[in-house]
Amino acid sequence: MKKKVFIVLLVFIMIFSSGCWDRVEIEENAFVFGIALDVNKERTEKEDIEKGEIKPFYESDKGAIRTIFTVPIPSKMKEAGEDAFESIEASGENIPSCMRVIERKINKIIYLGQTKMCVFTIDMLNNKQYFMDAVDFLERDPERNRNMKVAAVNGSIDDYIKVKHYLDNNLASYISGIFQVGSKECCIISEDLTELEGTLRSSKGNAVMPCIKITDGKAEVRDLALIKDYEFYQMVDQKYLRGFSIISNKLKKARKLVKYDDTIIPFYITGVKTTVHLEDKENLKYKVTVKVEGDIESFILDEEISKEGKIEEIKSNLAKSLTMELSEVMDYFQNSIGIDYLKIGEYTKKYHNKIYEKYEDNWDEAFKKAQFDFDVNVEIRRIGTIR
Amino acid sequence: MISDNDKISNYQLNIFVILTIIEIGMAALPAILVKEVKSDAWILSIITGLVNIPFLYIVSKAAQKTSTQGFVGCLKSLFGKAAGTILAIPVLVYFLFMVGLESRLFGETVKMYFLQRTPIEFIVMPIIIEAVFLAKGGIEVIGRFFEAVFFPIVLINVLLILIAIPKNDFTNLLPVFSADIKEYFSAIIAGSNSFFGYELLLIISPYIKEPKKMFKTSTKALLIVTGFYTIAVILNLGKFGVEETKSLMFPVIALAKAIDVPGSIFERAEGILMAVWVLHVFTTMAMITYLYSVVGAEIIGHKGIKHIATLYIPVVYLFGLLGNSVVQVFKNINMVGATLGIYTVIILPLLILIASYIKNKGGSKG
Amino acid sequence: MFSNVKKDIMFERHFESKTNLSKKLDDNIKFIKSIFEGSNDIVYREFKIGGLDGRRAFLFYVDGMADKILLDNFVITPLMLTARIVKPDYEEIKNRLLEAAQFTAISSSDFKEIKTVEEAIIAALSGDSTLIIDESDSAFVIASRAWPTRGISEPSSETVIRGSRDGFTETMRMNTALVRRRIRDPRFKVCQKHIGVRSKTDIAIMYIDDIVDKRILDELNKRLDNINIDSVIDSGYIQQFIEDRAFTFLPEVQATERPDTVAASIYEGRVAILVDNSPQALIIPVTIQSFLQSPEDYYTKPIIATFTRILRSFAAIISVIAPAFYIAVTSYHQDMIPNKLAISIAASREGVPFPAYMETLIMIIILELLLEAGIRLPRPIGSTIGIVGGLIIGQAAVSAGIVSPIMIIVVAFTAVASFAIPNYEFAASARIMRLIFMLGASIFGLYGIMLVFIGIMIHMVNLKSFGVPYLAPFAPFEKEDMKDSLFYRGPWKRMRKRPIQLNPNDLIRQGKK
Repeated sequence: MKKKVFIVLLVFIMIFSSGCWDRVEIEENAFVFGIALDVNKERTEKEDIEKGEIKPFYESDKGAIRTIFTVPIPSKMKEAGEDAFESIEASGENIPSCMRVIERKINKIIYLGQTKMCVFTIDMLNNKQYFMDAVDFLERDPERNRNMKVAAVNGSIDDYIKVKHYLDNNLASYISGIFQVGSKECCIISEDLTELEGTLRSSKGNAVMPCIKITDGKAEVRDLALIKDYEFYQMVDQKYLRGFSIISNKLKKARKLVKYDDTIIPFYITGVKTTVHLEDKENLKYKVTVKVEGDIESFILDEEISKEGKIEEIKSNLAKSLTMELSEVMDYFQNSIGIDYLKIGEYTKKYHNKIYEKYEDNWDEAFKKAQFDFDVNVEIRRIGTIR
Repeated sequence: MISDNDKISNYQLNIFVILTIIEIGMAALPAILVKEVKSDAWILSIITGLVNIPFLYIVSKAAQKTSTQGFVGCLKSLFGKAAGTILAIPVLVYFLFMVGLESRLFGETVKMYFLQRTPIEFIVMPIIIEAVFLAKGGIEVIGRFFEAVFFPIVLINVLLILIAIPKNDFTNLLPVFSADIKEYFSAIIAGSNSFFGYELLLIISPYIKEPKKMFKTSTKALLIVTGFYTIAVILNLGKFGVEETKSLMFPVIALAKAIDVPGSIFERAEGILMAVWVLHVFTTMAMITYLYSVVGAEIIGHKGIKHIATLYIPVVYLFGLLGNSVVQVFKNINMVGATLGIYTVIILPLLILIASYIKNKGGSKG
Repeated sequence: MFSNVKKDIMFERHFESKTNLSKKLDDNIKFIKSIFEGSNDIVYREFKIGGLDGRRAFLFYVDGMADKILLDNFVITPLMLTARIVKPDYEEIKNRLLEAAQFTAISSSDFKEIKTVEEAIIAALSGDSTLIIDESDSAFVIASRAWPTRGISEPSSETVIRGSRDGFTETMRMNTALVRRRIRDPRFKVCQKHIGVRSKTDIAIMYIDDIVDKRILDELNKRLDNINIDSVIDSGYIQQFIEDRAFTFLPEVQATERPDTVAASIYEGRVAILVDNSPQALIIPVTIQSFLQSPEDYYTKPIIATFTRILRSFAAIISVIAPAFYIAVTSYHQDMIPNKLAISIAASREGVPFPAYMETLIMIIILELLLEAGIRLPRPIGSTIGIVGGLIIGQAAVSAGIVSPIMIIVVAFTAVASFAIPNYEFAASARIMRLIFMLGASIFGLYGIMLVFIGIMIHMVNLKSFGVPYLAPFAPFEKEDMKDSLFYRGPWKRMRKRPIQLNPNDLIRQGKK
């Protein structure tokens, strides 16, 4: 009995005399909601400090990258004013050194566990080294939120910060909200950090990133930034994105315009199912079967849509238009871009591994030469409340 | 009053084996398997589980031999006093290492994900002490604890699995059978470490109610563990894909971090996962603490296992602090598993069986 | 004759000293009066049986504890008056006076013949009266206990909506009667003992002979016989003596004021102990289920009962873990809560000077003080103080900036959840567990909560109540017993057997018709 008491006392003394190391009060934490990364343009000369012999100091005031953390001020968030959040800027060699700089300036601890949004500028993407450093840091840190969205910014980072965030009280939730809602309702591609890391790794440096275009202080999500070999490669125009999503089977809902008689009718796609089949194993001929279903949103006022043949006509017009669209998208990706971002390679690897192994080393060439046939089937389910 | 207090029923044996085998090594298992065989990892985990069944058979047959005299007693009677004791010492050292390394690895995960600034000693010490507290009560108390904890563990595990299933791309499991046989073998060897744990049969067999059914019950347990591991590997592959899983240190924990259940109270499921993980690790550690205190007591000839358990706390603690970095700890675990583990799980039971067979033959003749 | 018998050793440890009555009445009277010297509430009545020349008789009892009307009408009157009127005469009966008095004169029904002075004195002190007749060495003890008692009322701490409303009172005989009414089985035994050297408190051990496991009974008797204290004031004393382990915060004996709970437990194979002067009965052996079950569960439909049970267990868990969880999440694991909640907690905590664990500790201490004060205050003020104190103190604390509003919600939630625990002693243990969890959470966060949980589980798993493991039916897992467990209550049609954990002799309680 005495021994027990002794041991327990010893343990208690040990615990209490050393303190609680990890206890961080919630108000001491600066919750970073958004990270924006950019290359520091002030550093014009390429100080190749990475090369050469070991130096004692690697930190410099003119860092290689600029990071801007958007941090909310909790007490002001309740009033939801313009200045409910602060942007804190720092520059350093990589993200951790930026964080060290910031910690000397603010009275709270930087906390990445609640980050919603991480944005790269196109300049940053152009710089392979910095981009890879940033992604590696985001992957390795156990604290940060894996569900944060990533995007590329077409413009400068200062414009991004000044963007007017309608309908929300801070920029990061506004932008990430666009992604969240948009990926379900209209055709926006939203990318998690997890997905980005996964694609970068599995395809050795190829990935896609949605792009935010800033014009006149307003943000719009459009276009897609393609990354090849961990570097920015090309921008894909918005009009190809619908086809892109359909072929990669990511589309949830979208709208398409179709011609009927002499008017353009909007068609609201509610469901898409795409399957890819390898038809000809020798010559890499693929057949892509697309099943689309959706609703008609508006029609000609003085005509009845439920009359004979009208639905069929709209359907066949849609099918034709969609087939042409998909062929054009595929053509664009095969010829203008020349790299397989549509996950055709993954499909081949999964279902026809032996064939993939033949072309594994130079899959992009094989992709360029592959032929694709599209078989589109459109169903119109609902037409609204009027006949 | 419940009679037959000291005997372990089949159901309890089942739970013992399941909870002892599942330990912190499982968090890294998907990465280990995927590194060798890429997308066949889930097939590999099934195969590794099945490969362990013949070893389990040998162990349970050897355990039936030790059921009358206890583990060290049986060794002493088969090989003579001195040789028996010498054969038992590596087993003791193996168990001590296992508890120490287990606690260290677990401490590293806790430190990495939750308590970044707390010194590792303070994370590891309480759980070692609590394992000793539980082991002091004897096999009956351990049995009750395992049973009481089993139900919540299963419930929470099922919950975690269910919330991890959506947003999984199960086509990542293909292509199947894309790796060579050579890679299969190296994966089996690398992954077997996570399936060891059934050597507890050797030591607690005197307390089992129905020794004849030992093999059947433990096989059931091993299959459940295999199923659980396979589900974890499948979910990991589905969420992250081959390349990502290969690069993660603890894929299972990263999986819990990546689960997204919008609109729930807890956005991050890793808290729940860690809560369940503490229980998994603790059950393994408590059982192995009991095992080494029994073996230690029998070697010295002392009756009270409580004192042995308490005495060895510093030893276990020091073994845990041996590796300098996380990477080193992983290497240590593999090394210990490859040498002492194989000795305890495969070689020693074989020796016991062969020796008892020879003795029986000699006995019946003479 | 009694001069050599020392007075003070008479009431020492054991009753081995037995002083027989002497045949001479005067000796007896003198001895008894000397024992009771100094007390003025003992009444002595000397009278003669059978006329002025008849036999002398002596009656004594304690004023206030004995029923004077019974004694006057049914003991003294028959012996003094009626014996003189009715045949046979004193002269005829003289040699068989004792027999005649016992069998034909004294009209009270509860009647005992004793031979020692000690028994006479104990009887008088218990409220019975003793009649000693000259020239005989036996005396009669006539049961005449009557004292003012509280009527049967609903127990205040164990209220139900559905179910009987009677509760035990302080008189043991009434309590045994309440239980007897529910168990009209001749094999239901009520076995009485005296415990307490000076208090000689009556204790009744109740069980059904062919259901209960005899080992439990033997163990109980052994422990009761080992009690060597001078007074037993309440059943709580007995509880602490028969407990398995003193050094634990968990209750190991169930105390209840409801006769239907006691009857149901006896039917399951448990043993109940009633202590005089105490309205709380003790039930052993006990498992953790007993503390989270309410008798209502058995009187309502199974689905509703299951839902209520799950709710109750959930409430018990919440009341223990909620404050610790708040500390762990806000101090250590801020990424576990949704974004907006984190911001609003941070906003509400901005002006608060104390760290989270200190804040929680302050609020929990205030809560405990309010609870404790609420018990002491008279009934109308008590409940008001709870509401007023809680609201006003909470609100004022928030306005003063000492605690954050979220903390008030957590504490209120905890308090409400803790009232859902049916058993008062277990609720008290829950309060202690809450503090331990808070300690663990403030040191190690979620890991600390898990460590404390494991520690408490280890403690519970080591506990045994009279041989029955504390965590049955979860610990040694009995599938049959799960039908009536913490989370589920099966329909009565399915509950065929008694709980196996108690190892009853007669397992089947329900058969087919």
